[in-house]
Amino acid sequence: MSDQHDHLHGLPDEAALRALASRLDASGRAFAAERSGLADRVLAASAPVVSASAVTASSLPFPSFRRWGLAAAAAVALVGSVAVYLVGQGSTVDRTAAGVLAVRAPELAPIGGSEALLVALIDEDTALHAADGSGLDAGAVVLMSGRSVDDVTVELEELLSAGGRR
Amino acid sequence: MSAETLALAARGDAAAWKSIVGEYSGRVYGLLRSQGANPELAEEVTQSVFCTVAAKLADYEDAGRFESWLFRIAMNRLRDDARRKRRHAKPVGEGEVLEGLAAAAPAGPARGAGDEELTALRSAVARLSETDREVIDLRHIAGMSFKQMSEHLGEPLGTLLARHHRALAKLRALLEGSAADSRAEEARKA
Repeated sequence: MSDQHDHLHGLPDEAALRALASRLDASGRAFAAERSGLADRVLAASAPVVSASAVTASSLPFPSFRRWGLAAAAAVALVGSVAVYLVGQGSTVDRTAAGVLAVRAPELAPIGGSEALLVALIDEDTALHAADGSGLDAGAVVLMSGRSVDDVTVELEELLSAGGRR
Repeated sequence: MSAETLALAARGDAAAWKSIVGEYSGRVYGLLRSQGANPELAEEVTQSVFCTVAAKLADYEDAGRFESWLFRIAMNRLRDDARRKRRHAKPVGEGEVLEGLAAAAPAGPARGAGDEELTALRSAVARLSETDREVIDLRHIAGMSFKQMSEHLGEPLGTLLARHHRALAKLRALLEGSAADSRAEEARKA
């Protein structure tokens, strides 16, 4: 083939490229045929796996269902982890905000309303031992409860006079 | 590969799985060989790839990308193997790898005059840049369609067609250069 036919506007002749592509296809087929019995050996190695996988999968027959199941489990685990983390962080924040008040989850007798909130925020021992209320930081409780200073002060006093529980 | 066949295989249908292995095992093996794996390693990795696909097929949702998924697993597995070997062997340059690949004679049962041509062709492919070789190998060794290649590589179809055309042109130039060198060498000897 002459150069004139070989190159048109600087591009190689398409027929020559097609012929080259055919040679490459043949090269691919030669690679694929290089190992006789390859498919049989691959089949022997993988068939038990596909059977076992199908049996396992049949317990939850639909891929999307399984995926949702796994996603739901992951979400529950994530929410649990976040909740544990936040509770931990919340305690730290509470402690920081409440200054000297050591906050923990007290074992409370069933009480309701704002008292429950206050008792939960204040260390029970501190409340019991600071009979005059001087050991308590009402301002910190205000910040955490969103209530007015007066309301909190009154409720703290009532709560302390009642011995921390009602 | 039809979605029906894949679904059947995922449910453990032996005939469907056999047809998948028959259709793709040689192509996966060929792609691995074209990337420089020796015959033993290429077969070992091919078996491993199909075991992986078999294990994950039940979770595979067909979106017409099975080939892309399969060949990606194969290439990743080969890279993992190369990485593992690099930890235990002396460093080998890319040039040495390409030379080794180019020197690999066809190991098929039929050996003859065509072998020399095949070796010259593979040697020229090995001298292409990595990006040019990628499109050549995916198209002609893995047997992917341009559409599949487009999905596999995340490139527009037109870009891939152009890349393929350019790679073929470069390959042809390399082959012509090699042929001219051979003729000059023979003339010198004469």
